[in-house]
Amino acid sequence: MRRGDLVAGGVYLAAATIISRLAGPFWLFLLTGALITAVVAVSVGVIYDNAGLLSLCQMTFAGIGAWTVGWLNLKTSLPYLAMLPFAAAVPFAAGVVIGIPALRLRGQNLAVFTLVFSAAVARVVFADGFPGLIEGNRVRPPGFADSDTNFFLFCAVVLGLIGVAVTALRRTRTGRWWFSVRHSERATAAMGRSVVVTKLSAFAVSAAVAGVGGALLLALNGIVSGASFQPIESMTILTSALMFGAGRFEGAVLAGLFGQLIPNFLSDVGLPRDLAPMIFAVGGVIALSRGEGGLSAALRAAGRKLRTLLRVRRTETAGQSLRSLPSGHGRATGTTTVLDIQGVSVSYGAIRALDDVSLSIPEGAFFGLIGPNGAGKSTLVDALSGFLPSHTGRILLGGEDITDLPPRKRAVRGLRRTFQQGHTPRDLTVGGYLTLASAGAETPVAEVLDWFSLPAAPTPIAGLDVGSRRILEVCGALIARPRVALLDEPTAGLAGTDRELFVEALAAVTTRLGVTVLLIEHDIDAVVSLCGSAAVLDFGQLIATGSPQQVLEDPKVVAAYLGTST
Amino acid sequence: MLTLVVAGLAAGGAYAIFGVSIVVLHRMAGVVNFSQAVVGAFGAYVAATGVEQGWSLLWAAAAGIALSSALSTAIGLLFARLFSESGVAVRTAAMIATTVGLFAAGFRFFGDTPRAVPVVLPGASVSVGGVVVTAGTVIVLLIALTTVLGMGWVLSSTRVGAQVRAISERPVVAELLGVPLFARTALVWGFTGFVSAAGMLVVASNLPGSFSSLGFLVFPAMAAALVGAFRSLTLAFVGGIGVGVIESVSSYREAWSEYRGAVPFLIAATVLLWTQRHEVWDAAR
Repeated sequence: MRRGDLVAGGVYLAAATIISRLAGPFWLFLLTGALITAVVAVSVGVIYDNAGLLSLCQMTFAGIGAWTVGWLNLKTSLPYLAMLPFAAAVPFAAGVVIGIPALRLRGQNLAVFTLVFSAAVARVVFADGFPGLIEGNRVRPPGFADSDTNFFLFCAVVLGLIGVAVTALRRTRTGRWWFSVRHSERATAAMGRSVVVTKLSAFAVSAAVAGVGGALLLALNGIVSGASFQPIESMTILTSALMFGAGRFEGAVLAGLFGQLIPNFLSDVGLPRDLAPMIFAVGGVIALSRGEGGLSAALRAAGRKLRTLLRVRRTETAGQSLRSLPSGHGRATGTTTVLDIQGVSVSYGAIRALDDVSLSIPEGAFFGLIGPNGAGKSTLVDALSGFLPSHTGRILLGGEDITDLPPRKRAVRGLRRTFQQGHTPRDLTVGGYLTLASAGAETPVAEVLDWFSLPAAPTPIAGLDVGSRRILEVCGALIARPRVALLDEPTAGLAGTDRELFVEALAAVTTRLGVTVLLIEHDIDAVVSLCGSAAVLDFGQLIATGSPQQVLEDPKVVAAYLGTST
Repeated sequence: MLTLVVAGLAAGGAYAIFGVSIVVLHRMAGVVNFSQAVVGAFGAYVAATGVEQGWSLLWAAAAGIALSSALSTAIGLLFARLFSESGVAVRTAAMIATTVGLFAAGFRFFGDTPRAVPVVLPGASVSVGGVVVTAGTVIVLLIALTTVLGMGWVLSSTRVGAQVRAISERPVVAELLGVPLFARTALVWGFTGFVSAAGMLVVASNLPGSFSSLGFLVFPAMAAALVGAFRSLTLAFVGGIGVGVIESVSSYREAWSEYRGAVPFLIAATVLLWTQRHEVWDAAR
């Protein structure tokens, strides 16, 4: 727990208590509704703001939670508190089941799929009436919360606990992977993490949170109908979550509050209540056009500005202790081949991007791969790391055939890569990203940061310049101490001293971490100074191998770079 | 059974019109238009209101179609202005927000009680092999087919088609190449608004419903578009007809009819499980 969190929690509980004592029955009912809407908004925050997935069935999950509690109330004599876990568990399970066809989807396809799911449940399940609706079997809140005041406080505590749990979850590995998958699925798989499991966990957690919201709504009203859980309601809550930025707890609370207060305000001033969704729609579109994060992000930014103005600076300590890196790691450059590329060919229609490429990379080597633009270097990296749908030939890592393995499994077996276009998730801190990328390898984060002259662990990635992000991504691939690291143009976008320092730092990688490196570079100087041996690709064919000096003097290589003189 | 299949064609044709329009707009503007049906519903309800006010049928229908086209154009220009360089998720989210606003606006103007949308078509029908096929069904299917064939041709074989595809993929590059961004965007969105309103006018006089229930025709239409993977006009057409026919056939048995509302979902789930069985990666390296 951070100190700020404790202060925020205290303020939240104090505010809830004061409101519960001061507000009359009408306002209490309204504000209880706001807390319940905020619970569902938290679930939207998890799935959209954290994991970057567009789900249009959050109110359906709330309905499934309410349906479960209604059914239990009708069939059993369980007290409300004992039913609440089921209100989370059943939507959680539904989220997993629905997630399975949806888990390979992203963006629009997922939105469409969850929308038709939501419509189907509304028409087939909810339209038949909720259990207890016809019988008039009302759900009662727990005995200690059976007054308006106490039920409001009960909802405030439940929302608070959900907020704490979700905030804590965001700081665990599972939660950090959500941010990673939101930023790039490829990079997530390349770090050895299953994209499917990551998305599914976010989806199921958000379903469980929404289910609790539905159960609270049922307790507030006693009975509910399907009207509250229609697809358009899911779309509306997503819209207000966009406007207020429900990825942060305060954003979810604001979405809940304004979801109740705006309609009420409109009717107070003599305007129709149903103008409210139009206001959310306009607010949501404006928030999206100004970048993501909504009102809560804007508020945080304003808060940061204010703090800088007031010169209140928190001193931040790096979380990791300084331990010295064992050098050598027992893997010397030897004759053992660690990465064996056998006859790899790739065709795009009539174009042969790679033509029967074979290479053996010895263990502990710093191996360079150069070639003019369009030579097929990045295609080779994609083939090696498993991102190409099909290629011929075999790829062996430490003697094991990995040709048919998906990217994640190759990463787990010790083949890491970086991308030409930076793929570090901007929502994480430098330390958080490296811990995530290390996959349990005990390389001290602080020492790596020091080694590559990167900012301290608590620095948010969003605050780094492009060059530092590139270096950070390379560190992410190295910190896991893979058997082989494929670095795809790591120095691109770096200039001057930064570049020199980085190349110097890279030189120690093989000895200090024991990682074999395949370096794809345009910068010939870097290849000459770092690599013991190198190969040259041109038009998909390997035209030379040997020491960097040798290959650069090879007439075929000179011709490839300068064009053939005819 | 055959009667049910034919009965399903009318609804299926409507789903196909909206489904195909969604695919056209996705290919031309890079947006999944959740408001496709609700924009059409505006046109149909303006026409209905016009007739109630004593306008002639022709003028009312023309006013409705014009309004839908204008509304659609306005949305398109707004999106071109604000989101042309945004990612798919942001554009989709913005479209969802816009749709919520449109539903709320329609609800405000027209309430939620069904109105009689004027019958713009003759009530004639033909009997084929003992099964009655109404003129409405035939015309809905014709509109859907014309849209598929016409738009397929425009997209693949004309200069305008190539220009709008360029705009949807790389707006800035297209603009640098001298493609008139504003005019083309307005054209595409205006056209799909026009088709939606025309389709909705025919459909609404066949399947009367409240404003929002007409807008919710977007659910089966989305399932149809998904069948076409948001790329293929023909498959989206087949998907729309398929959803309509299976829905209709499901009322053949009492036990099945309960699940009628789940047909779009079941079709979408089946298609997705099949098409997404291989790993597919997000944006290029």
